[in-house]
Amino acid sequence: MSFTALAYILALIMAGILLFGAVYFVIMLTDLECDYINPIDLANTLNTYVMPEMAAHLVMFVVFLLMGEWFTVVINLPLVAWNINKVVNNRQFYDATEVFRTLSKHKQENFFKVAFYLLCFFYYLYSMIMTLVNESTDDIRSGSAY
Amino acid sequence: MSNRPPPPPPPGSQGRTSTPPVGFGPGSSPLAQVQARPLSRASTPGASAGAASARVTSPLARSAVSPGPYPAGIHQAAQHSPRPMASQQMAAAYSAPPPAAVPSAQPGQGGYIVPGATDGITQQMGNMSLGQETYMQPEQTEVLSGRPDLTDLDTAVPEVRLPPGTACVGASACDERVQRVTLGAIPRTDRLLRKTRLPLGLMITPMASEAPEARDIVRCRRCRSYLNPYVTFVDGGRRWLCNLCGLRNDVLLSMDYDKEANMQIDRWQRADLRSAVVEYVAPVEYMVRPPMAPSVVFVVDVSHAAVQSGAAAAASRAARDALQQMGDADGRAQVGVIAVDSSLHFFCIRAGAESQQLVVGDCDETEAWLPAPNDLLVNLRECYAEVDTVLENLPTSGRGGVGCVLGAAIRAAQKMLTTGGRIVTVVASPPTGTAARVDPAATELNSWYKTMAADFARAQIAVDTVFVGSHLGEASVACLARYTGGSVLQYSELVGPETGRAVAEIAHMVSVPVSMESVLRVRASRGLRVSSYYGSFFLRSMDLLALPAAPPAHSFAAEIAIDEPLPPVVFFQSALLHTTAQGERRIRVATLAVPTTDSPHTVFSAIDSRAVATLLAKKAADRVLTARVADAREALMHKTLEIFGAFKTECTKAASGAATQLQSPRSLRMLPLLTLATLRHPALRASSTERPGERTADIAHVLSLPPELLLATLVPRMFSLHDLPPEAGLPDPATGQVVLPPRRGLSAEELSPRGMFLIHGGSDVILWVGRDADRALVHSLLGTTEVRSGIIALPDLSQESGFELNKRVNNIMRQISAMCYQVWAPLIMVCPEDGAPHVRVKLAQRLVEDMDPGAPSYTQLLAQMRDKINRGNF
Repeated sequence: MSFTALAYILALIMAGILLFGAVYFVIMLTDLECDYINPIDLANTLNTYVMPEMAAHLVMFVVFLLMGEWFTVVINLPLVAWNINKVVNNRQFYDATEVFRTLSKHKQENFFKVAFYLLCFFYYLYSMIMTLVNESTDDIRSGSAY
Repeated sequence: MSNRPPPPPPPGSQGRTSTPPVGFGPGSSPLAQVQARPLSRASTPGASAGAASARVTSPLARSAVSPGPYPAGIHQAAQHSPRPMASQQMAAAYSAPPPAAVPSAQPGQGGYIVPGATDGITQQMGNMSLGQETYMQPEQTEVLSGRPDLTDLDTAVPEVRLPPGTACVGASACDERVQRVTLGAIPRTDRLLRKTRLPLGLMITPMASEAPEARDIVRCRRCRSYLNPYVTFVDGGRRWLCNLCGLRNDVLLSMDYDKEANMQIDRWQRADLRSAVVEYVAPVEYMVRPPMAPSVVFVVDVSHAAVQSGAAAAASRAARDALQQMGDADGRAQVGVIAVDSSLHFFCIRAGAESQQLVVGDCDETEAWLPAPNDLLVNLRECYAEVDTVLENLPTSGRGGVGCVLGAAIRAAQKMLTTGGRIVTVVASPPTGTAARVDPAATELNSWYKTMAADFARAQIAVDTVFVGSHLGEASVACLARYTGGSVLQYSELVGPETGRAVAEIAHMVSVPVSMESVLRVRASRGLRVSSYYGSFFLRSMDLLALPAAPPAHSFAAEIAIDEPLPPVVFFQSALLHTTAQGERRIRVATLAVPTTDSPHTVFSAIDSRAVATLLAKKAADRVLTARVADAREALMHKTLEIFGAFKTECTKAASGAATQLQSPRSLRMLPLLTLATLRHPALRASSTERPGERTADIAHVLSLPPELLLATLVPRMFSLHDLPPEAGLPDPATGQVVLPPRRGLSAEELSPRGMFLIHGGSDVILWVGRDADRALVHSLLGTTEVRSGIIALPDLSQESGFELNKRVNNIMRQISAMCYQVWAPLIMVCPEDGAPHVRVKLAQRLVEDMDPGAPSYTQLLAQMRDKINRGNF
């Protein structure tokens, strides 16, 4: 199995995890709106996952960049830029005192991430299958499969 | 506003404890004795009867007055047989107020059309003239020109005029000091509100007035709102209709029958049906833990800079004064002291023994370490003398170090306050340390303080911050106060009389009875939703404000959005669940009823312009925190222009053309002046030399002050002292309050060289003495004929003879101080006509109608507004 296929398998798994992460964020934010948790607990819980999520996505992006999968890189580029923008302006963490002000914006952002990661999941799945199929046809053609 | 301790109950007659209401858990702890407290606003003769609500009315007393007893079969437990009564008579009696000696709600004297009743007449009259019904009556609009009439600012708040029959008994309307709405007639739909461009908001100062005590708590089953004077009794008095959500609730037995005394009671005598502001004694279901004892920890900076500037000495004096003034009625108050320089100094205080000072050198901000397990936070009553000695020696307890490890000190104080309380920090040097370090020149806030504030809010700890000096990183440290319900005070330097003023204000801030571990919730009728809050609090949920401390002078503004079309009358109910300084858990409920309307004319004629200006000022101050000052100023000006532009489009003849003059509804005629005054307030003043943190205390004031106080600082009161009317400065024989002289316009035109003028801006006072002022008058006021620029404390020469003017001016200043809830203890800045320039600059800043480098004069502003509105782009 080539490195590309392996990368897509790992990206598939990572996209799944990030998808669950984004859904978790959405659930926590709606809980805050319905008064099931208070903003301090929300901030403490979510802030532990913000940086790992960004780091994981960045690692995936760099791997695809190094492998030359340009279409995947282009798709992931806006989200990476958005994350870097947030880190540079020091806005990535949830602030317990201000979270109610920007609650609807946070929810929209996380909904977008859910949709994005879902599409990415299926795209990686497709790419993985295509890569594996192409590899195996190459193997067949070049005769190294036998 | 003085919070007296409740009067002791007279022996015998009021010896019964109040019971928990039917339906709540049995076995509740017996509550404090119910004491009647007189209403502060006896607006109806029936108010005196309302004060007697705490007593059970005997069946004989109520025979002539009440609606009569109940039909057989409802209350089986009634001891005596009820008199038979016709059913329709009883139904009428329960749905309408009883024919008591209580007049129904009088229509107010406000200057606007009663909504609903005469909307048709307006339309008809509009129809009569040329078939145009798009403009208001001539007597409702005004052309703004010339000088504003400042006496408008002293008139009573326009009373909200409700359709008759809204209140079920002749209840006194909600005291406007407690709850005030910006629009006296709310638009019925969101579309209409947007068309008029007016801000809809509510200003809540829960502890501003006295409130009668109510016996038991009755709440709606669905929306959990409290019983209030605007409910309707239906089904023959067996159910009550909640006015906020419309649910029919069952009337509880306890509303008509007192189980303890086995007597029937008149439900109409309930305090919560007679008064819109009511205070309940909360049963045990409303507490998560026993009511906490008032605890205060003083964290005082004793570094070299603090001692040099006099901050440490002032803090120590203020703390001692405060402990003396604090009414520690039940002896549970606790006090602790931490002195901070480059290390932490704890004081181990024991009654009868000498206190020990323990120095902790390496302080950690992440984990606090207390050198002694107890004796750091001690009971005030037991160790009063020792605490006093410790505070007296506080300025010398430091080692003259240079840093100020405020972060570690605050952590330690948090650990000391296990059940919550207050931390009063006096800071005179920028905080050092690792995570809590603040670089005074940095524009970015250090978010450590915000995180700590969130922790404190959870632990029911409120932080009050006092800054002495400048470049202290105030913007970051003040977050502690802003998000925990504390106050912020700032003094640039403590020289001469300024020390006395700082001591008085800090002592007042610490000793005023503060409501602890409180939460405030605002409920509104269906269709209304609170979109944002402004003030000093922690937002724990979409509609719940957590207030570890709620000082009586703190006000909260709520901006309201309309989601659905509204019914004819809407209601706002705020409920503050708090622990008093005496350790009682209470709920203060205030209900406000506001009519709604479909016509923009009525909306514009019923605006409370002072409340609108207050709300816009708070929004602007909030914006300064998150964006730049220039943005906030522009947004404020833009909003004002929008309002007048919308008025022109909706309600005037020249709807789309150009007008030669700026037209305004009568209710809004002070708004341009108030906007101008807001733009010149220190919190919003345009300044090119911007020091970060300079405006912190001013912004905190704007955000947390009630409308009356904010207006006192925005538009100062100017009095001419050389021609005082004979009754000014002396108590009015009728009301006992000191009569204030008439207000002058705030312009240099008013200053005549022969005169003396006093400009009282709430927190600071300027005395202007003309070149040719009468020397005898000057002597009569100041005790000396020499007038020099500078800050003085007005001497109190009222005891001696020959200082008549001094006595009157002292009375006037005391009266204004009382109107401002004693928050400030202002000094007088003497400004002779040809005095020092820096004093004249201060004077120019207070003369609001005149031009300033950052703002136009009033007439110029009117002209600019007219042009911009005519052009249509702003």
